[in-house]
Amino acid sequence: MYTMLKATNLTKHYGKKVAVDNISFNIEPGKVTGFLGPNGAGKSTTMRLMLGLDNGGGSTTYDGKHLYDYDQPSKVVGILLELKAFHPTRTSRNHLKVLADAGNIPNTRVDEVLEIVGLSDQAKKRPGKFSLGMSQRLGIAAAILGQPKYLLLDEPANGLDPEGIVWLREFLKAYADKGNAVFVSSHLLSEISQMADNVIVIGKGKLIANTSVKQLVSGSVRSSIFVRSAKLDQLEKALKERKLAYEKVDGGLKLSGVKTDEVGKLAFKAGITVLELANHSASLEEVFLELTAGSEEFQTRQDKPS
Amino acid sequence: MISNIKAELRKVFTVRSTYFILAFVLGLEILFGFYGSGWRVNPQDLHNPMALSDDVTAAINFVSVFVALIATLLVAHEYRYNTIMYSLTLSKRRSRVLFAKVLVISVFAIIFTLVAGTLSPLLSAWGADAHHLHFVPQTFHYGTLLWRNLFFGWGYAMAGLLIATLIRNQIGAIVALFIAPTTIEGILSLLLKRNTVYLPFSALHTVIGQGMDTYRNAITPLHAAMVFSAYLLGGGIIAWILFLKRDAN
Repeated sequence: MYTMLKATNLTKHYGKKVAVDNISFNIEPGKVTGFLGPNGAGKSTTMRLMLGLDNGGGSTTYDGKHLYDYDQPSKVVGILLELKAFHPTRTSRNHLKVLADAGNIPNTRVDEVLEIVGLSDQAKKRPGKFSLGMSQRLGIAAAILGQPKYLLLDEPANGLDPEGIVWLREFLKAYADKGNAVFVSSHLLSEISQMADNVIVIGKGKLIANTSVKQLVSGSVRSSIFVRSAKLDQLEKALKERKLAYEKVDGGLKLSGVKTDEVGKLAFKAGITVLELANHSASLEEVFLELTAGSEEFQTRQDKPS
Repeated sequence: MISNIKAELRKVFTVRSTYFILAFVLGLEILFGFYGSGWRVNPQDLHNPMALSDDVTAAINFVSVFVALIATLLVAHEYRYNTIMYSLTLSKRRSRVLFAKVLVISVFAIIFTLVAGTLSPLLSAWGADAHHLHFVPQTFHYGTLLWRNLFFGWGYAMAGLLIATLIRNQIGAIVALFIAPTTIEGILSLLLKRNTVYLPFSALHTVIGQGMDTYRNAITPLHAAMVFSAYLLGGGIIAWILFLKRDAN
Protein backbone atom coordinates (compact mmCIF):
# COMPACT_ATOMS: atom_id res chain seq x y z
CA MET A 1 0.00 0.00 0.00
CA TYR A 2 1.28 3.48 -0.87
CA THR A 3 1.61 5.81 2.08
CA MET A 4 1.39 8.91 0.00
CA LEU A 5 -0.82 10.91 -2.26
CA LYS A 6 -0.33 9.74 -5.82
CA ALA A 7 -1.71 11.82 -8.68
CA THR A 8 -1.49 10.02 -11.98
CA ASN A 9 -2.01 11.40 -15.49
CA LEU A 10 -4.27 14.25 -14.41
CA THR A 11 -5.79 15.81 -17.50
CA LYS A 12 -8.45 18.43 -18.04
CA HIS A 13 -9.73 19.98 -21.25
CA TYR A 14 -12.02 22.96 -21.65
CA GLY A 15 -13.11 22.51 -25.23
CA LYS A 16 -9.90 22.51 -27.26
CA LYS A 17 -7.90 24.20 -24.52
CA VAL A 18 -5.82 21.87 -22.38
CA ALA A 19 -5.89 23.17 -18.82
CA VAL A 20 -4.01 20.27 -17.23
CA ASP A 21 -1.85 18.12 -19.45
CA ASN A 22 -1.16 14.62 -18.20
CA ILE A 23 0.43 15.59 -14.90
CA SER A 24 1.69 12.98 -12.44
CA PHE A 25 3.34 13.48 -9.08
CA ASN A 26 3.47 12.17 -5.54
CA ILE A 27 3.07 14.02 -2.27
CA GLU A 28 4.80 12.52 0.71
CA PRO A 29 3.59 12.61 4.30
CA GLY A 30 5.74 14.51 6.75
CA LYS A 31 6.56 17.17 4.19
CA VAL A 32 5.24 20.46 2.91
CA THR A 33 5.03 20.42 -0.87
CA GLY A 34 4.78 23.74 -2.65
CA PHE A 35 2.79 23.99 -5.84
CA LEU A 36 3.95 26.76 -8.09
CA GLY A 37 2.94 28.09 -11.45
CA PRO A 38 2.05 31.35 -13.14
CA ASN A 39 -1.55 32.56 -13.26
CA GLY A 40 -3.63 30.25 -15.42
CA ALA A 41 -1.05 27.46 -15.21
CA GLY A 42 -3.71 25.02 -14.00
CA LYS A 43 -2.88 24.82 -10.30
CA SER A 44 -6.44 25.18 -9.02
CA THR A 45 -7.80 22.86 -11.69
CA THR A 46 -5.18 20.27 -10.75
CA MET A 47 -6.25 20.49 -7.11
CA ARG A 48 -9.91 20.16 -8.08
CA LEU A 49 -9.08 17.11 -10.19
CA MET A 50 -7.25 15.58 -7.24
CA LEU A 51 -10.44 15.93 -5.19
CA GLY A 52 -12.83 14.75 -7.87
CA LEU A 53 -14.52 18.14 -7.93
CA ASP A 54 -13.80 18.49 -11.64
CA ASN A 55 -14.25 15.67 -14.06
CA GLY A 56 -11.22 14.94 -16.16
CA GLY A 57 -8.67 12.27 -16.92
CA GLY A 58 -6.36 10.52 -14.52
CA SER A 59 -6.73 9.49 -10.94
CA THR A 60 -5.59 10.41 -7.46
CA THR A 61 -5.12 7.96 -4.65
CA TYR A 62 -4.60 8.70 -1.00
CA ASP A 63 -2.53 5.96 0.61
CA GLY A 64 -3.48 3.70 -2.26
CA LYS A 65 -7.22 4.31 -2.19
CA HIS A 66 -9.49 6.72 -3.98
CA LEU A 67 -11.14 9.35 -1.82
CA TYR A 68 -14.58 7.80 -2.36
CA ASP A 69 -13.28 4.46 -1.04
CA TYR A 70 -12.94 5.98 2.41
CA ASP A 71 -15.89 5.89 4.78
CA GLN A 72 -14.88 9.22 6.25
CA PRO A 73 -13.12 11.38 3.64
CA SER A 74 -12.90 14.23 6.17
CA LYS A 75 -10.17 12.25 7.97
CA VAL A 76 -8.21 11.89 4.74
CA VAL A 77 -8.17 15.29 3.11
CA GLY A 78 -8.87 18.85 4.19
CA ILE A 79 -9.21 21.60 1.64
CA LEU A 80 -9.00 25.32 1.16
CA LEU A 81 -9.63 26.05 -2.49
CA GLU A 82 -11.61 29.26 -2.73
CA LEU A 83 -11.53 32.59 -0.99
CA LYS A 84 -14.54 33.21 1.25
CA ALA A 85 -16.16 29.83 0.68
CA PHE A 86 -18.91 30.27 3.25
CA HIS A 87 -22.43 31.62 3.47
CA PRO A 88 -22.02 35.25 4.55
CA THR A 89 -24.85 35.22 7.08
CA ARG A 90 -24.17 31.83 8.65
CA THR A 91 -22.01 32.36 11.73
CA SER A 92 -18.46 31.03 11.75
CA ARG A 93 -19.36 28.41 14.31
CA ASN A 94 -22.43 27.29 12.39
CA HIS A 95 -20.46 27.20 9.14
CA LEU A 96 -17.99 24.82 10.75
CA LYS A 97 -20.78 22.85 12.41
CA VAL A 98 -22.35 22.25 9.00
CA LEU A 99 -19.03 20.91 7.76
CA ALA A 100 -18.55 18.87 10.94
CA ASP A 101 -21.99 17.31 10.46
CA ALA A 102 -21.26 16.52 6.83
CA GLY A 103 -17.89 15.02 7.69
CA ASN A 104 -19.18 13.08 10.70
CA ILE A 105 -16.85 15.02 12.97
CA PRO A 106 -17.85 15.75 16.59
CA ASN A 107 -19.10 19.32 17.03
CA THR A 108 -16.70 19.76 19.94
CA ARG A 109 -13.92 19.98 17.36
CA VAL A 110 -15.45 23.22 15.99
CA ASP A 111 -14.42 25.35 18.96
CA GLU A 112 -11.01 23.71 18.98
CA VAL A 113 -10.22 24.71 15.41
CA LEU A 114 -11.60 28.21 15.94
CA GLU A 115 -9.14 28.57 18.80
CA ILE A 116 -6.27 27.16 16.71
CA VAL A 117 -6.81 29.74 13.96
CA GLY A 118 -7.45 32.56 16.43
CA LEU A 119 -11.10 33.12 15.65
CA SER A 120 -12.67 32.08 18.97
CA ASP A 121 -14.00 35.58 19.58
CA GLN A 122 -15.52 35.61 16.09
CA ALA A 123 -17.41 32.34 16.52
CA LYS A 124 -20.83 33.99 16.70
CA LYS A 125 -20.07 36.58 14.04
CA ARG A 126 -21.30 36.38 10.49
CA PRO A 127 -18.28 36.01 8.22
CA GLY A 128 -19.75 38.10 5.39
CA LYS A 129 -17.86 41.14 6.62
CA PHE A 130 -14.66 39.33 7.58
CA SER A 131 -11.40 40.69 6.20
CA LEU A 132 -9.55 38.55 3.70
CA GLY A 133 -7.18 37.40 6.42
CA MET A 134 -9.99 36.38 8.77
CA SER A 135 -11.72 34.60 5.93
CA GLN A 136 -8.56 32.66 5.18
CA ARG A 137 -8.28 31.69 8.83
CA LEU A 138 -11.84 30.40 8.74
CA GLY A 139 -10.98 28.47 5.57
CA ILE A 140 -7.96 26.94 7.30
CA ALA A 141 -10.17 26.03 10.27
CA ALA A 142 -12.48 24.22 7.86
CA ALA A 143 -9.56 22.41 6.27
CA ILE A 144 -8.17 21.05 9.55
CA LEU A 145 -11.58 20.26 11.06
CA GLY A 146 -11.30 16.52 10.53
CA GLN A 147 -7.56 16.44 11.38
CA PRO A 148 -6.94 15.03 7.90
CA LYS A 149 -3.73 13.36 6.84
CA TYR A 150 -3.59 15.45 3.66
CA LEU A 151 -4.09 19.19 3.44
CA LEU A 152 -4.68 20.75 0.02
CA LEU A 153 -4.48 24.52 0.26
CA ASP A 154 -4.80 26.92 -2.65
CA GLU A 155 -3.11 30.24 -1.90
CA PRO A 156 -3.74 30.07 1.87
CA ALA A 157 -1.48 33.05 2.61
CA ASN A 158 -3.55 35.42 0.46
CA GLY A 159 -4.73 38.33 2.54
CA LEU A 160 -2.91 37.31 5.70
CA ASP A 161 -0.97 40.00 7.54
CA PRO A 162 2.74 39.40 8.32
CA GLU A 163 1.89 37.92 11.70
CA GLY A 164 -0.66 35.67 10.03
CA ILE A 165 1.83 34.55 7.41
CA VAL A 166 4.37 33.61 10.06
CA TRP A 167 1.66 31.77 11.98
CA LEU A 168 0.56 29.92 8.84
CA ARG A 169 4.13 28.92 7.97
CA GLU A 170 4.81 27.58 11.45
CA PHE A 171 1.43 25.89 11.62
CA LEU A 172 1.81 24.09 8.29
CA LYS A 173 5.37 22.98 9.09
CA ALA A 174 4.20 21.66 12.46
CA TYR A 175 1.23 19.94 10.80
CA ALA A 176 3.54 18.20 8.35
CA ASP A 177 5.97 17.27 11.13
CA LYS A 178 3.20 15.19 12.70
CA GLY A 179 3.36 12.88 9.71
CA ASN A 180 0.78 14.66 7.60
CA ALA A 181 1.23 15.91 4.06
CA VAL A 182 0.66 19.54 3.19
CA PHE A 183 0.23 20.53 -0.44
CA VAL A 184 0.13 24.26 -0.79
CA SER A 185 -0.02 26.45 -3.85
CA SER A 186 1.17 30.00 -3.64
CA HIS A 187 2.37 32.96 -5.60
CA LEU A 188 4.35 34.09 -2.58
CA LEU A 189 7.52 32.33 -3.58
CA SER A 190 9.41 33.57 -0.56
CA GLU A 191 6.80 31.82 1.57
CA ILE A 192 7.14 28.55 -0.29
CA SER A 193 10.93 28.71 -0.04
CA GLN A 194 10.65 29.12 3.72
CA MET A 195 8.10 26.40 4.39
CA ALA A 196 8.24 23.81 1.62
CA ASP A 197 10.48 20.77 1.49
CA ASN A 198 9.50 19.82 -2.04
CA VAL A 199 8.15 21.83 -4.89
CA ILE A 200 6.10 21.05 -7.95
CA VAL A 201 6.14 23.62 -10.74
CA ILE A 202 3.65 23.67 -13.58
CA GLY A 203 3.20 25.96 -16.54
CA LYS A 204 0.46 25.94 -19.18
CA GLY A 205 -0.88 22.76 -17.62
CA LYS A 206 2.37 20.85 -17.95
CA LEU A 207 4.68 19.61 -15.21
CA ILE A 208 7.91 21.62 -15.30
CA ALA A 209 9.67 20.50 -12.14
CA ASN A 210 9.06 18.09 -9.29
CA THR A 211 11.92 18.09 -6.84
CA SER A 212 13.12 19.37 -3.48
CA VAL A 213 13.44 23.12 -3.04
CA LYS A 214 17.15 22.68 -2.28
CA GLN A 215 17.84 20.77 -5.48
CA LEU A 216 15.75 23.11 -7.54
CA VAL A 217 17.58 26.18 -6.34
CA SER A 218 21.08 24.69 -6.48
CA GLY A 219 20.48 23.32 -9.96
CA SER A 220 19.51 26.66 -11.35
CA VAL A 221 21.76 28.36 -13.89
CA ARG A 222 21.32 31.45 -11.79
CA SER A 223 23.18 29.85 -8.89
CA SER A 224 26.76 31.12 -8.86
CA ILE A 225 29.74 31.86 -6.68
CA PHE A 226 31.39 35.19 -5.98
CA VAL A 227 35.09 35.61 -5.38
CA ARG A 228 37.01 38.76 -4.42
CA SER A 229 40.77 39.13 -4.24
CA ALA A 230 43.41 41.84 -3.89
CA LYS A 231 45.12 40.26 -6.92
CA LEU A 232 42.16 40.08 -9.23
CA ASP A 233 44.27 40.14 -12.41
CA GLN A 234 46.22 37.08 -11.32
CA LEU A 235 43.02 35.31 -10.36
CA GLU A 236 41.53 36.06 -13.76
CA LYS A 237 44.64 34.65 -15.41
CA ALA A 238 44.43 31.47 -13.33
CA LEU A 239 40.77 31.02 -14.19
CA LYS A 240 41.46 31.52 -17.89
CA GLU A 241 44.15 28.86 -17.76
CA ARG A 242 41.60 26.46 -16.26
CA LYS A 243 39.08 27.60 -18.93
CA LEU A 244 36.57 28.72 -16.30
CA ALA A 245 34.15 31.41 -17.45
CA TYR A 246 33.58 34.42 -15.23
CA GLU A 247 32.25 37.93 -15.28
CA LYS A 248 33.38 40.97 -13.35
CA VAL A 249 30.89 42.26 -10.83
CA ASP A 250 31.12 44.56 -7.82
CA GLY A 251 34.91 44.46 -7.59
CA GLY A 252 35.01 40.68 -7.81
CA LEU A 253 34.29 37.81 -10.14
CA LYS A 254 31.09 35.82 -10.60
CA LEU A 255 31.35 32.22 -11.76
CA SER A 256 28.67 29.73 -12.66
CA GLY A 257 28.83 25.97 -12.76
CA VAL A 258 31.76 25.70 -10.42
CA LYS A 259 32.07 25.01 -6.70
CA THR A 260 33.70 27.24 -4.09
CA ASP A 261 36.15 24.43 -3.16
CA GLU A 262 37.50 24.36 -6.69
CA VAL A 263 38.07 28.10 -6.87
CA GLY A 264 39.59 28.14 -3.38
CA LYS A 265 42.12 25.41 -4.24
CA LEU A 266 42.93 27.15 -7.52
CA ALA A 267 43.68 30.44 -5.77
CA PHE A 268 45.75 28.69 -3.10
CA LYS A 269 47.90 26.92 -5.69
CA ALA A 270 48.42 30.21 -7.54
CA GLY A 271 49.37 31.95 -4.27
CA ILE A 272 46.51 34.41 -4.55
CA THR A 273 45.00 35.80 -1.39
CA VAL A 274 41.24 35.44 -1.44
CA LEU A 275 39.30 38.10 0.47
CA GLU A 276 35.83 36.72 -0.15
CA LEU A 277 34.50 33.46 -1.55
CA ALA A 278 30.78 32.85 -1.32
CA ASN A 279 27.98 30.85 -2.85
CA HIS A 280 25.14 32.80 -4.35
CA SER A 281 22.10 30.55 -4.56
CA ALA A 282 19.33 31.65 -6.86
CA SER A 283 16.18 32.56 -4.99
CA LEU A 284 13.16 30.40 -5.58
CA GLU A 285 11.68 33.40 -7.32
CA GLU A 286 14.55 33.51 -9.79
CA VAL A 287 14.27 29.79 -10.41
CA PHE A 288 10.54 30.02 -10.80
CA LEU A 289 10.86 32.78 -13.40
CA GLU A 290 13.57 30.81 -15.15
CA LEU A 291 11.48 27.64 -15.27
CA THR A 292 8.21 29.24 -16.24
CA ALA A 293 9.60 31.63 -18.82
CA GLY A 294 7.16 31.51 -21.71
CA SER A 295 4.61 29.53 -19.72
CA GLU A 296 2.64 32.51 -18.52
CA GLU A 297 -0.99 32.45 -19.55
CA PHE A 298 -1.22 36.21 -19.30
CA GLN A 299 1.76 38.11 -20.64
CA THR A 300 2.31 41.74 -19.78
CA ARG A 301 3.94 44.45 -21.84
CA GLN A 302 5.37 47.77 -20.85
CA ASP A 303 3.86 50.89 -22.26
CA LYS A 304 6.33 52.86 -24.31
CA PRO A 305 6.62 56.46 -23.19
CA SER A 306 5.06 58.77 -25.75
CA MET B 1 -26.25 9.38 4.96
CA ILE B 2 -27.33 10.49 8.45
CA SER B 3 -24.39 12.92 8.55
CA ASN B 4 -25.46 14.38 5.20
CA ILE B 5 -29.03 14.83 6.45
CA LYS B 6 -27.82 16.53 9.62
CA ALA B 7 -25.66 18.88 7.56
CA GLU B 8 -28.51 19.76 5.20
CA LEU B 9 -30.86 20.40 8.11
CA ARG B 10 -28.31 22.71 9.68
CA LYS B 11 -27.84 24.49 6.36
CA VAL B 12 -31.57 25.25 6.16
CA PHE B 13 -31.89 26.54 9.69
CA THR B 14 -28.67 28.53 10.04
CA VAL B 15 -29.25 31.16 7.37
CA ARG B 16 -31.34 34.30 7.75
CA SER B 17 -33.12 33.86 4.45
CA THR B 18 -35.04 30.84 5.77
CA TYR B 19 -36.41 32.83 8.69
CA PHE B 20 -37.14 35.90 6.56
CA ILE B 21 -39.10 33.82 4.09
CA LEU B 22 -40.99 31.92 6.78
CA ALA B 23 -41.83 35.12 8.66
CA PHE B 24 -42.98 36.77 5.42
CA VAL B 25 -45.17 33.80 4.50
CA LEU B 26 -46.72 33.57 7.96
CA GLY B 27 -47.30 37.32 7.91
CA LEU B 28 -49.09 37.05 4.59
CA GLU B 29 -51.12 34.11 5.80
CA ILE B 30 -52.25 36.03 8.86
CA LEU B 31 -53.11 39.01 6.66
CA PHE B 32 -55.00 37.00 4.08
CA GLY B 33 -56.52 34.53 6.55
CA PHE B 34 -57.47 36.65 9.52
CA TYR B 35 -58.17 39.87 7.67
CA GLY B 36 -58.91 38.91 4.03
CA SER B 37 -60.90 35.71 4.50
CA GLY B 38 -62.07 36.40 8.06
CA TRP B 39 -62.61 40.01 9.05
CA ARG B 40 -63.37 41.15 5.49
CA VAL B 41 -65.03 37.89 4.43
CA ASN B 42 -67.26 37.97 1.37
CA PRO B 43 -70.80 37.61 2.82
CA GLN B 44 -71.60 34.86 0.30
CA ASP B 45 -68.74 32.78 1.68
CA LEU B 46 -70.33 32.77 5.12
CA HIS B 47 -73.01 30.52 3.66
CA ASN B 48 -70.60 28.28 1.78
CA PRO B 49 -69.92 25.05 3.70
CA MET B 50 -66.68 24.62 1.72
CA ALA B 51 -65.36 28.15 2.32
CA LEU B 52 -62.75 27.23 4.91
CA SER B 53 -61.72 24.17 2.94
CA ASP B 54 -61.14 26.45 -0.06
CA ASP B 55 -59.12 28.75 2.20
CA VAL B 56 -56.76 25.88 2.93
CA THR B 57 -56.12 25.34 -0.77
CA ALA B 58 -55.70 29.06 -1.42
CA ALA B 59 -53.19 29.31 1.42
CA ILE B 60 -51.19 26.31 0.26
CA ASN B 61 -51.19 27.73 -3.26
CA PHE B 62 -49.06 30.71 -2.24
CA VAL B 63 -47.21 29.24 0.73
CA SER B 64 -45.75 26.50 -1.44
CA VAL B 65 -44.03 28.98 -3.73
CA PHE B 66 -42.02 30.26 -0.79
CA VAL B 67 -41.17 26.80 0.48
CA ALA B 68 -39.91 26.12 -3.05
CA LEU B 69 -37.84 29.27 -2.75
CA ILE B 70 -36.17 27.91 0.40
CA ALA B 71 -35.50 24.67 -1.48
CA THR B 72 -34.00 26.62 -4.37
CA LEU B 73 -31.72 28.55 -2.03
CA LEU B 74 -30.53 25.37 -0.31
CA VAL B 75 -28.93 24.30 -3.59
CA ALA B 76 -28.15 27.67 -5.18
CA HIS B 77 -26.35 29.02 -2.10
CA GLU B 78 -23.92 26.12 -2.32
CA TYR B 79 -22.80 27.21 -5.76
CA ARG B 80 -22.98 30.93 -5.10
CA TYR B 81 -20.77 30.70 -2.01
CA ASN B 82 -18.66 27.76 -3.19
CA THR B 83 -19.57 25.60 -0.21
CA ILE B 84 -20.43 22.85 -2.69
CA MET B 85 -16.73 21.88 -2.71
CA TYR B 86 -16.96 21.07 1.01
CA SER B 87 -20.26 19.23 0.64
CA LEU B 88 -18.84 17.02 -2.09
CA THR B 89 -15.43 16.30 -0.59
CA LEU B 90 -16.79 15.58 2.88
CA SER B 91 -19.31 13.09 1.57
CA LYS B 92 -18.44 9.59 0.48
CA ARG B 93 -20.76 9.86 -2.54
CA ARG B 94 -22.07 12.87 -4.44
CA SER B 95 -25.49 11.23 -4.61
CA ARG B 96 -25.80 11.31 -0.84
CA VAL B 97 -25.57 15.10 -0.85
CA LEU B 98 -28.38 15.38 -3.36
CA PHE B 99 -30.61 12.79 -1.71
CA ALA B 100 -30.09 14.39 1.70
CA LYS B 101 -31.30 17.68 0.23
CA VAL B 102 -34.35 15.96 -1.29
CA LEU B 103 -35.17 14.28 2.01
CA VAL B 104 -34.73 17.37 4.17
CA ILE B 105 -36.76 19.57 1.82
CA SER B 106 -39.47 16.92 1.53
CA VAL B 107 -39.94 16.74 5.29
CA PHE B 108 -39.69 20.52 5.60
CA ALA B 109 -42.29 21.04 2.85
CA ILE B 110 -44.71 18.50 4.31
CA ILE B 111 -44.48 19.91 7.83
CA PHE B 112 -44.82 23.50 6.68
CA THR B 113 -47.74 22.64 4.40
CA LEU B 114 -49.49 20.96 7.33
CA VAL B 115 -48.86 23.95 9.58
CA ALA B 116 -49.98 26.48 6.95
CA GLY B 117 -53.00 24.35 6.00
CA THR B 118 -54.08 24.07 9.62
CA LEU B 119 -53.56 27.74 10.40
CA SER B 120 -55.48 29.03 7.41
CA PRO B 121 -59.07 28.00 8.36
CA LEU B 122 -58.42 28.81 12.01
CA LEU B 123 -57.30 32.33 11.12
CA SER B 124 -60.29 32.85 8.81
CA ALA B 125 -62.77 31.65 11.44
CA TRP B 126 -61.05 33.74 14.11
CA GLY B 127 -61.06 36.84 11.88
CA ALA B 128 -64.75 36.45 11.07
CA ASP B 129 -65.59 35.81 14.69
CA ALA B 130 -63.71 38.95 15.74
CA HIS B 131 -65.96 40.87 13.36
CA HIS B 132 -69.07 39.09 14.77
CA LEU B 133 -69.54 37.08 11.57
CA HIS B 134 -70.04 33.35 11.51
CA PHE B 135 -69.58 30.70 8.87
CA VAL B 136 -72.21 28.07 8.37
CA PRO B 137 -71.11 24.63 9.59
CA GLN B 138 -68.16 23.68 7.43
CA THR B 139 -67.43 20.48 5.55
CA PHE B 140 -63.89 19.15 5.20
CA HIS B 141 -63.07 16.15 3.01
CA TYR B 142 -59.97 15.47 5.04
CA GLY B 143 -58.50 12.70 2.91
CA THR B 144 -58.81 14.63 -0.35
CA LEU B 145 -57.77 17.89 1.23
CA LEU B 146 -54.72 16.29 2.81
CA TRP B 147 -53.28 14.40 -0.16
CA ARG B 148 -53.94 17.11 -2.72
CA ASN B 149 -52.43 19.92 -0.66
CA LEU B 150 -49.54 17.87 0.65
CA PHE B 151 -48.74 16.73 -2.86
CA PHE B 152 -48.88 20.31 -4.10
CA GLY B 153 -46.65 21.64 -1.31
CA TRP B 154 -44.15 18.81 -1.68
CA GLY B 155 -44.25 18.95 -5.48
CA TYR B 156 -43.59 22.69 -5.64
CA ALA B 157 -40.64 22.32 -3.25
CA MET B 158 -39.22 19.50 -5.36
CA ALA B 159 -39.64 21.64 -8.46
CA GLY B 160 -37.63 24.39 -6.77
CA LEU B 161 -34.91 21.93 -5.82
CA LEU B 162 -34.87 20.48 -9.32
CA ILE B 163 -34.64 23.86 -11.04
CA ALA B 164 -31.79 24.95 -8.76
CA THR B 165 -29.89 21.70 -9.31
CA LEU B 166 -30.19 22.09 -13.06
CA ILE B 167 -29.48 25.82 -13.28
CA ARG B 168 -27.18 26.21 -10.23
CA ASN B 169 -27.08 29.97 -10.60
CA GLN B 170 -29.06 31.57 -7.76
CA ILE B 171 -30.67 34.42 -9.67
CA GLY B 172 -31.35 32.23 -12.68
CA ALA B 173 -32.98 29.54 -10.55
CA ILE B 174 -35.22 32.00 -8.69
CA VAL B 175 -36.27 33.70 -11.91
CA ALA B 176 -37.01 30.33 -13.49
CA LEU B 177 -39.03 29.26 -10.44
CA PHE B 178 -41.22 32.34 -10.68
CA ILE B 179 -41.63 32.68 -14.44
CA ALA B 180 -41.99 29.02 -15.39
CA PRO B 181 -45.46 28.52 -13.88
CA THR B 182 -46.86 31.86 -14.91
CA THR B 183 -45.16 33.45 -17.90
CA ILE B 184 -43.80 30.42 -19.74
CA GLU B 185 -46.72 28.08 -19.22
CA GLY B 186 -49.09 31.04 -19.64
CA ILE B 187 -47.69 31.75 -23.10
CA LEU B 188 -47.67 28.08 -24.01
CA SER B 189 -51.32 27.82 -23.00
CA LEU B 190 -52.18 30.08 -25.94
CA LEU B 191 -50.98 27.29 -28.20
CA LEU B 192 -51.82 24.23 -26.18
CA LYS B 193 -55.31 25.23 -24.97
CA ARG B 194 -56.71 22.34 -22.90
CA ASN B 195 -53.47 20.39 -23.33
CA THR B 196 -51.79 22.99 -21.15
CA VAL B 197 -52.75 20.71 -18.30
CA TYR B 198 -49.92 18.41 -19.40
CA LEU B 199 -47.32 21.07 -18.61
CA PRO B 200 -45.68 20.49 -15.21
CA PHE B 201 -46.83 23.47 -13.18
CA SER B 202 -50.28 23.52 -14.79
CA ALA B 203 -50.64 19.87 -13.86
CA LEU B 204 -49.51 20.63 -10.33
CA HIS B 205 -52.06 23.43 -9.99
CA THR B 206 -54.75 21.09 -11.32
CA VAL B 207 -54.05 18.78 -8.38
CA ILE B 208 -55.49 21.40 -6.02
CA GLY B 209 -58.12 22.62 -8.49
CA GLN B 210 -56.34 25.88 -9.24
CA GLY B 211 -55.05 27.25 -12.52
CA MET B 212 -56.66 28.59 -15.67
CA ASP B 213 -60.27 27.85 -16.59
CA THR B 214 -59.17 26.52 -19.98
CA TYR B 215 -57.64 23.38 -18.54
CA ARG B 216 -58.62 23.20 -14.88
CA ASN B 217 -61.00 20.28 -15.22
CA ALA B 218 -59.41 18.65 -18.27
CA ILE B 219 -58.06 15.78 -16.18
CA THR B 220 -58.65 14.55 -12.64
CA PRO B 221 -56.38 15.64 -9.78
CA LEU B 222 -54.98 12.12 -9.58
CA HIS B 223 -54.06 12.13 -13.27
CA ALA B 224 -52.61 15.60 -12.88
CA ALA B 225 -50.48 14.34 -9.98
CA MET B 226 -49.23 11.53 -12.20
CA VAL B 227 -48.37 13.97 -15.01
CA PHE B 228 -46.41 16.16 -12.62
CA SER B 229 -44.70 13.12 -11.08
CA ALA B 230 -43.56 12.02 -14.53
CA TYR B 231 -41.91 15.41 -15.08
CA LEU B 232 -40.37 15.27 -11.63
CA LEU B 233 -39.01 11.78 -12.21
CA GLY B 234 -37.60 12.61 -15.64
CA GLY B 235 -36.18 15.94 -14.52
CA GLY B 236 -34.89 14.36 -11.33
CA ILE B 237 -32.95 11.70 -13.22
CA ILE B 238 -31.40 14.33 -15.50
CA ALA B 239 -30.54 16.55 -12.53
CA TRP B 240 -29.02 13.60 -10.67
CA ILE B 241 -26.84 12.59 -13.62
CA LEU B 242 -25.70 16.17 -14.12
CA PHE B 243 -25.01 16.53 -10.40
CA LEU B 244 -22.71 13.52 -10.64
CA LYS B 245 -21.03 14.44 -13.90
CA ARG B 246 -20.64 18.19 -13.92
CA ASP B 247 -17.69 20.08 -12.51
CA ALA B 248 -18.61 21.35 -9.08
CA ASN B 249 -18.50 25.08 -9.66
